[in-house]
Amino acid sequence: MAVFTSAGAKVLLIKAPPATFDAAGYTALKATAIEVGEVSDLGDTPSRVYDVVPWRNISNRGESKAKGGYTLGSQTITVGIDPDDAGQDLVDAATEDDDPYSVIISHPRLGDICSRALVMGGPKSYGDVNTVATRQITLEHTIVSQDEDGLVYIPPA
Amino acid sequence: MMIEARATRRTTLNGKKYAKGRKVEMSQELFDALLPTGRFELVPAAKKTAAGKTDPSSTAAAT
Repeated sequence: MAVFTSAGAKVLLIKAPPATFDAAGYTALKATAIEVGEVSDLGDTPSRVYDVVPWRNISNRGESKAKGGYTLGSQTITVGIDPDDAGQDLVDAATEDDDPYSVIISHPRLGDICSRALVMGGPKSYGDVNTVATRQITLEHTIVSQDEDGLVYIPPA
Repeated sequence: MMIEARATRRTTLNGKKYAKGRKVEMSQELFDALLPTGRFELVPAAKKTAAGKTDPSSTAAAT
């Protein structure tokens, strides 16, 4: 049994979608994706989470449940503000863009989680004298079509 | 296809630091991905020397 921290993980961003929404497509895209620098917290990585739909009939009071729709979730990453970082610049450009971007969360031991997400931006916090200036960036992971999520997991090599 | 680009300002790209004006060889796809940031510009290809390469037929036509 082994557990891991997020040490060594990276967030990569690129506007282009993969040629195919599978491991091969995202692996090819990864070569030209741009790392968002100075990430200190990855937040919640995308995954299907279903809504619960409750139903109570009045005759017996008990609640039955069904699975409803699902979301790939939202993710808030924290970065230390670096004005030299090209990846953080791309986040700014993506925030102004209505189109989703390809996001690759790459972990050296846990593999890559790849998806398409709207980059929603986020507030900057300069904090106090003993605090690093940070920014929290929200990614809203979205499906790519009615046929597929576009959410791909690539196991580590 | 690899192209030559120049950093328009001090830039950290994928963990590497580049000073302003530094030339960087990168793929066309990476350059395209970086376009929204404006941090790199294309370096124009060097002009080829024309000595001994003129077309004699065009010279004759001009005279």
